[in-house]
Amino acid sequence: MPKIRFSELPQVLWQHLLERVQERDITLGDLQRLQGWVKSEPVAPDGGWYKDFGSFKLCGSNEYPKTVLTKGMAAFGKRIE
Amino acid sequence: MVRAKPDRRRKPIICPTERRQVSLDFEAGSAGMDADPHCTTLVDGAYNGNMPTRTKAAPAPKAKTVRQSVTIPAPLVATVRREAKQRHLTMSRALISLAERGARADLDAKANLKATYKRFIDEREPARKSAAGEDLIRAVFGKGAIAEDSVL
Repeated sequence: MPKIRFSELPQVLWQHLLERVQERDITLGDLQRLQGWVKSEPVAPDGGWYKDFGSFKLCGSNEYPKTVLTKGMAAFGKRIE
Repeated sequence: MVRAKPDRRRKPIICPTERRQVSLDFEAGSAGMDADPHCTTLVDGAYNGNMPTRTKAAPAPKAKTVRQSVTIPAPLVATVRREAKQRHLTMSRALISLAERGARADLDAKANLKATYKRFIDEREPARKSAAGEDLIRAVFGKGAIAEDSVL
């Protein structure tokens, strides 16, 4: 399985992520945990996936991360442990 | 025949500071040294039972070191060996050098994330906010996170 891609992200994608970070009040602590997880080079399942960090979720599709959700929002796809 | 014991009390005493002989008259209960400030001072009257304690400054705490044997994963061996060769170090020292550099880079990355996050949240001017956002994406996902010609 391919690794989740965190490099060469298209502009529309990272701008969308930034908008959601601001809009959904993603904290510095949340981003620090996300940063640590990125360094672990996680693999991407086929189709939709999400990683639950407790206080927020990172959702993606195939090799790309797509958006961030708050704690209470429902995520679709395969959960990554 | 009984031999008389030598009277040790009459043995001459040398003052350690002035290197001269002084005499003690035990019968009289006081000494000829009383007048000499360099010699023994009687403390019977003034001594209150409290000895001054030795006040020695606590030694500076040493950074604790740990002797540790580790197995280096195969992909890392070449890197450690190269570091050792370039800097004229043993493999162990090269490993420590790389570990220190890694730990420092980790701390720097965290500090950078904190600064860019604050800048992104606080910034109101659109162009600067966009620049701060780019920096934030790079801080979270890595330096190569943003494509040069960003089209989906």
